[in-house]
Amino acid sequence: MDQKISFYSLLCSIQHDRFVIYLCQKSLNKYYYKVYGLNICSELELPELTPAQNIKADVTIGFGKVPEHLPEVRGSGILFEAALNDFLFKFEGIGRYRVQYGKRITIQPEREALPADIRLVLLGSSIGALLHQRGMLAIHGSAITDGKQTTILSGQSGVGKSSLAAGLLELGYSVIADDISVIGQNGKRHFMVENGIPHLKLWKDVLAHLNQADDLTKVRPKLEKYRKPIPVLEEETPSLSKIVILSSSNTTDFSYSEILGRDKFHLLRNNTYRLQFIDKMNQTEAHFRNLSQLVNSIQMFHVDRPGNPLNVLEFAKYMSEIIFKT
Amino acid sequence: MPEAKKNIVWLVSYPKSGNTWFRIFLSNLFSDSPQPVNINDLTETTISSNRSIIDSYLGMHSSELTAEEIDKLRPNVFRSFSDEKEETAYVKTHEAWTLNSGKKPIFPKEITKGVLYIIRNPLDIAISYSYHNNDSIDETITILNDDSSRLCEKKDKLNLQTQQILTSWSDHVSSWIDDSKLPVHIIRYEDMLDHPLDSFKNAIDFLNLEYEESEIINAINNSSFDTLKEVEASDGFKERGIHSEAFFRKGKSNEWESELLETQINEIVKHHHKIMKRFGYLRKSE
Repeated sequence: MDQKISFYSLLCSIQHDRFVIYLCQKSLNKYYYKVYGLNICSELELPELTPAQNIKADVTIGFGKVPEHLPEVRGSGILFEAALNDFLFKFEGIGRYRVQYGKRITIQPEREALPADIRLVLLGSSIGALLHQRGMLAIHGSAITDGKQTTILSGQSGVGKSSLAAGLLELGYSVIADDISVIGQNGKRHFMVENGIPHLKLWKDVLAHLNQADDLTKVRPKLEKYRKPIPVLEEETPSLSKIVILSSSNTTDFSYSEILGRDKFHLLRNNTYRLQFIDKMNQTEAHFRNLSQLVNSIQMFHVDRPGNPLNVLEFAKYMSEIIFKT
Repeated sequence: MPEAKKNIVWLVSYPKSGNTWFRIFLSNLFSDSPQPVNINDLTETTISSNRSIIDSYLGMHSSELTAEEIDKLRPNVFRSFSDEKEETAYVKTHEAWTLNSGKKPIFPKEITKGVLYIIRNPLDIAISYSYHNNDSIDETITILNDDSSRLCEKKDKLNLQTQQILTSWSDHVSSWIDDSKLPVHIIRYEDMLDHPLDSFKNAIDFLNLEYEESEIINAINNSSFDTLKEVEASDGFKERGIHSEAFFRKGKSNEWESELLETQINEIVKHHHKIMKRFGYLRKSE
């Protein structure tokens, strides 16, 4: 039997719903993309990613039946279950995602799920789990370059990583990745950041502050958070030289200090993307090895900014003058 | 599912009612040092709306969820948080006790060891909260009187804390004390000022903590307003509002008698007469 027809039958047997049938029809196509250094072949169209052609896929994404629970669970969280090379993410109202061997993501969407919501979970936690299964190091933050060196802006959610990246983009810097910065190697001892999803996810207040167009696509229809497309770097990205951990406080001035010694390792570990998956996936050793290799080849800084309202351009200028030129 | 661990004590109050003061007292009590603790490093407690903690249990960014979705997931976040703790966790909150859209309490009974509810005269909260937010007294009274008041509510920006349902002052009090059916111990802010030893000692008894009176007195002294003001003046305090001059301002009661207009007093009393009467906050004429 034709594999595509078989898949179509399987999926439609899961849920007789117009949306699912629509997805099934769409899934007869294959879409090819490149992100985080990986070649992706997907049955789901992913307009957020950079298209690629004629590639041998490292990762396939498709629809199919996903169990409610994994057969064996090593650890779990509220929305996920994890085992060695097997990971399940489930979100009520959107769907279930199974990630296996760092090579395959299977999605079973719920009846009412919106395509943008399905893609959001796919390109967030599911991809995060896949990267960990592959033993890749992903830092929670945005990567910026001036063409000569690369800096990752990390720190907790809400501290202004993407907003700062948008401000630096205005000053002429290039953005390599937003939210997830995947570390690769461009030589024996040179680390770099792989090209990520070519969008910045920005809240409406930041877009207004930067006088940016308000005709951008929302990340989710329910949120005032938008995707701003950014240019894709065609050539190999410059070596990673700095990681900056951002924080905000109720002071009126910016300040910075260099992070030294063991603090570098701990902060890098704590700012790993979806750190909570790693131990439960039995990837702790690989993660430790990756961090140990990286930590000695980069400088790290802590930058504290005044609390809200954030002046994005002022912050970007400070970073440009103080950190990037240090 | 295994039985949940009852590991959480909620430290609850309307904003500017003495919650931070009580947390600093607890940190001093738990500290091994006779010296005052660093008020910028209160590791003994966290806040219910801490986005980082919520994200770590969810495995996804709460910034990509609506407030309703987050509140639907938070009972499970708190359960996981409680289950992971080997001992009592003290969690500050300014939120009212409410049900989420799934009709489940956001602060679940099965993980709650107890609730310390710190109550303060709303007439004084109006003054203190207006300084904290750099709002007018009248704007602050609107918040106190509004059943739908929220904290971190703006939808066009991301806050380090998730949205919190505050409600009006009266609804907030009765949500925890009357509706929640949780074990609640009430502390009056005014008693913490006027009768500190009795007030803090009763709270310690409720929490089943065993400390000598001398240790409690030391913790009270290390948390005195004069000490806290001094420390804030020299080292700053990270919980100070960005627009306010100082977090620890006066630490007094009955400031309203000289600061509020009669119309402002009437506006608050009109909305909160029943609860104010219950807790002895009305003038004889009212």
